[in-house]
Amino acid sequence: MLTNTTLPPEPESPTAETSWEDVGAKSLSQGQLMIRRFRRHKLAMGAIVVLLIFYTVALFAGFFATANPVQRNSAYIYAPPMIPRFIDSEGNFHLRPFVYGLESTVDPDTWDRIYKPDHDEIYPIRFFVETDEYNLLGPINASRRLVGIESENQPLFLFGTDSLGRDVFSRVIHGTRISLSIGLVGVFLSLVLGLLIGGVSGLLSGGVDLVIQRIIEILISIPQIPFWMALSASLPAHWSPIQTYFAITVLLSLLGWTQVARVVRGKFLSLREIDFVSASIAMGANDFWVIVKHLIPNFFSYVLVTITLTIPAMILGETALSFLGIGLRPPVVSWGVLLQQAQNMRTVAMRPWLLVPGIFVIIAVMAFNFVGDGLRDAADPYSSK
Amino acid sequence: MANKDLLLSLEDLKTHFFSENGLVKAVDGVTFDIERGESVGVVGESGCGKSVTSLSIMQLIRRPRGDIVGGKILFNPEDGSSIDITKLSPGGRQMRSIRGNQISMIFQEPMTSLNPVYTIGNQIMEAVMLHQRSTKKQAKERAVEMLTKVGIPAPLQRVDEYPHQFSGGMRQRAMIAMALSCDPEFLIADEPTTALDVTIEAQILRLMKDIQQDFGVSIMIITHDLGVIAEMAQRVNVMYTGKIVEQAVTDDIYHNAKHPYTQGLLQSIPTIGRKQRLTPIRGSVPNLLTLPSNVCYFAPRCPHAMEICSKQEPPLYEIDEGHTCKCWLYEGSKEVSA
Repeated sequence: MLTNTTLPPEPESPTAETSWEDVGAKSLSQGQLMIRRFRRHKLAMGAIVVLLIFYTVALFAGFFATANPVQRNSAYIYAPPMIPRFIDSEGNFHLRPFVYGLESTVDPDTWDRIYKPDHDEIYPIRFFVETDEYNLLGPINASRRLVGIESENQPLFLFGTDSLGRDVFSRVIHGTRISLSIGLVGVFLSLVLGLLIGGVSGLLSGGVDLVIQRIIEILISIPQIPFWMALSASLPAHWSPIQTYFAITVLLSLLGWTQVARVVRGKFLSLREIDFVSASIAMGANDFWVIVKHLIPNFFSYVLVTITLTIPAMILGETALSFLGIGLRPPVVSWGVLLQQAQNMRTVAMRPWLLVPGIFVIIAVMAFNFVGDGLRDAADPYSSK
Repeated sequence: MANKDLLLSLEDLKTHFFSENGLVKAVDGVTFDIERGESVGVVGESGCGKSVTSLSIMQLIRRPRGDIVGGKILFNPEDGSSIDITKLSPGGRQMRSIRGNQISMIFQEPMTSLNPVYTIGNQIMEAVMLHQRSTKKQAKERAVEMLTKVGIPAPLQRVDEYPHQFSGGMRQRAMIAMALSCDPEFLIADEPTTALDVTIEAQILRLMKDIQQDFGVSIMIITHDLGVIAEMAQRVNVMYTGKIVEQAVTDDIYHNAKHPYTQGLLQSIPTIGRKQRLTPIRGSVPNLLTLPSNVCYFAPRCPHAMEICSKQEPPLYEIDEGHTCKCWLYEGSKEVSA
């Protein structure tokens, strides 16, 4: 039993009265250290800001859009983008940016519509303009939009219009919802599958591990696009857009979990040999306790990195499937669906603004990759940065 | 049990590993006793089965790669019961309630034995809360108390710090605090000072001695360092290739070593002031995979090897009271039935 004897303290150490907080040495947890290192990663911080903006836009798409994304304007088919300007054709400076109205004529030879800015019609761009009522989020309706012009007969087309005269800008904004959420939902499914299967593989090892690893290798070696095409072709055509949406996420995560599973398995294998795990078992902990308390907290940062780097693959997968016409289908709006319109050379040559959704795909994918890089550097306790 | 003071006795313990290349008899018929309040040393070169013996006692041998294939580990805790540990399921409730609670272990590497994700206090609290019904607050008080006991300065602050803020010696102190937090009756120290430098080693050994007196805990200390044994243990078991070759009280081992292997180990320790060259033991530990049966495994390296050594395995001879030796040189002494 305990007695009252106390052993001499280590000689070189400060006395008990000295508080470590006074010396300025504050104890930081691994998580806090990781956040601290992440914040020093400028590119990743920038990418985080970009992603935050994207997801805010996705959440309140109606507010940021300038028009109803499905509203057709038969008078403005394939209208070019209206560029906001500060200086008018006479060289006068306007403090408030404005756009010119569009004047359309028909080419007598090709019967194509030709649009020209009408220098007499000046529409100043205003913030929080009053428009028709739209659905903002769930049960909330609103009627003000972030930007717009006050005009009865001239709509605003910041990114031009498509073959039915629909505003590309508003469609891109609304497409953000599906394109960015499919990554998150898909990654969540991948994470669950990966943690479970990878964990089982690493924990049981032996024959189970062998079988699971071979299955993963087979899944990885299947060419993705044909695999997805085959699977999505088997989706019933009468399914509602919501059903198709979930089916596509499941399809994407069917391949996506393999990476997570590999990371989890590897970490399980290396960590279970490590002394603090043996020490915990020697202290009387059971398997469940060891996994939850010692294994998962130690590799979760790596899983976080892996899933951040899996999201862009999901976004690209959705875009590719929808672009090929086998993913989501109109009237659902996603970036991939929008890019379907830019499938032929003629469109690309004459109406380059239809490629704008592609730019957003690139920005989103790059932002996720930068965040993933930043997390990877931050999660590595031995990085010297 | 015949002896009331007997805490733990190993009887013909056999722990084998089934590797891809064949059977490895890491521990092959080890028998020894540990009495209450006693320190027993286990010495030997790397790969002679010291650590496997301790892992067997804790039932930490990872199956299916290895298993206890024979023998008994009788544990007689203070409550008067007698448990054969080999009969318990390794992951079962009863074994878990022994680990950390009645038998604790200190590991070799203090640098990796603590989880970097949690504070020191958190990890000691974990040990306490696994075995005792106590609130977080009580567990934390216990952690601070234990840190004070093992001589960690400013324990109230240190309890909230992370392992990376501790030096190697401090971490080993924290590990000892953790191992003792549930008042175990038996402590296994597997090379507790091998990873530390000499001055810290002395501090830790001193701490362990003091703690043994304070807590009345029995200690089994595993090491390849005869100096550590001299400091710590009252009795010594010398192991070679999974078998015990000599058992004696510490003094006898140092001044009256009988087995050529023990003599060889003693001759290879440098001493201050000695002018001659050290005499190392010839050769190296044989591969456990290719051992023939029924011979003395030390014979190829032994300076006194005789014809019989490579023909028949020597029995255990009793040379003196409490001093046994497994060597043909002592043929004619009383044989101990093993």
